[in-house]
Amino acid sequence: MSEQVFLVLTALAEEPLHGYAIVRAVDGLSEGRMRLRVGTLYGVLDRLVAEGLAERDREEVHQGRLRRYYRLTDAGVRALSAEVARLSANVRAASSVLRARGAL
Amino acid sequence: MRSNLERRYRALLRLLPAWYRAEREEEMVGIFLADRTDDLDLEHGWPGWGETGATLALAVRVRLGARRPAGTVARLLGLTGLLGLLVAAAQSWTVTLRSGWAVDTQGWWFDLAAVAAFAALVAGRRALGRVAAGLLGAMGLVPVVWSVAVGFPPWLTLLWYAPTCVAAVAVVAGFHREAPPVPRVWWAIALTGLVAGGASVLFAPGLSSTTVLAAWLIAAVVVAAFRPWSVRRSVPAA
Repeated sequence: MSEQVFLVLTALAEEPLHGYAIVRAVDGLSEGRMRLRVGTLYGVLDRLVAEGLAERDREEVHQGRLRRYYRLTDAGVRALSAEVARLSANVRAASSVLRARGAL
Repeated sequence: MRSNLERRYRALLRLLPAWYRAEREEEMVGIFLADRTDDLDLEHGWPGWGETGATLALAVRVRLGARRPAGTVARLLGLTGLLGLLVAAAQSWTVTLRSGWAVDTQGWWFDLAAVAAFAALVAGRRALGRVAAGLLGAMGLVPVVWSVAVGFPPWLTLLWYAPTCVAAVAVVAGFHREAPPVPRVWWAIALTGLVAGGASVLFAPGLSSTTVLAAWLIAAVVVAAFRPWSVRRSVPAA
């Protein structure tokens, strides 16, 4: 799972979000490291929807602009949980090695 | 009333297919403009290079998607082009084995890149396959540009390198992240192409424009015989 996909899934895990809110959430979650371009965001969303990890939620009109919300599916929650478990195991392994070296 | 910036963003979105724009254009424009509220910017601003590149990449992925006919054609074209290079490599190795080791090393690099690109794509190592195909395209482009620059009649050069460049472009564009996996039947296609390539020059005096043409022809015939586009893909478990 790429970091982009991981962060978009994480952003959607809290609540359904529209495209711009996802961009802002990913920016915040990555502490400014990752600024999703619109083309990139929709590539990720298309893939998540195609794989059944996310789906369309409601639509709203805000200041004359359409906002379409996306939400995580149960399969998306499971995929994110599995990735978190994998990354956590990696972090534990790396921390253990660094502690043994006295670097942590 | 639409600002100039909005018009420019909508013009940029015309890179995307009409059916995709009908679904997404309004929400995409909303995101593009969400951070650009300055009046001067709205009048004189342009889409940034980053947004333009990302939109272009999205357009390629959408047009050449897993279920799009254009994507299927691009991937078939790319793999068939690489197969043609494998067949030509088999011809070259056969002639070399028959006549000794006096061959140019540039050809070896070409063969190596073609084998690496083909094997990586079929094995599912898409990024590696695209890089190798990109290198192949670059190596093919140099002689074409050079022969045109020096005014040489480039038809013979084009006969060899132009299909290589087309195949490289097709691979790089067609095997994006969302592209479907390559059917395993391509291993059998490669084996058949290599054997046919070697056999095609068993009695030939050497490599020539005829053997090059034969290589492309063999690749096309072998692919047509195996019909890899009709192979059913197994659906991976969720």
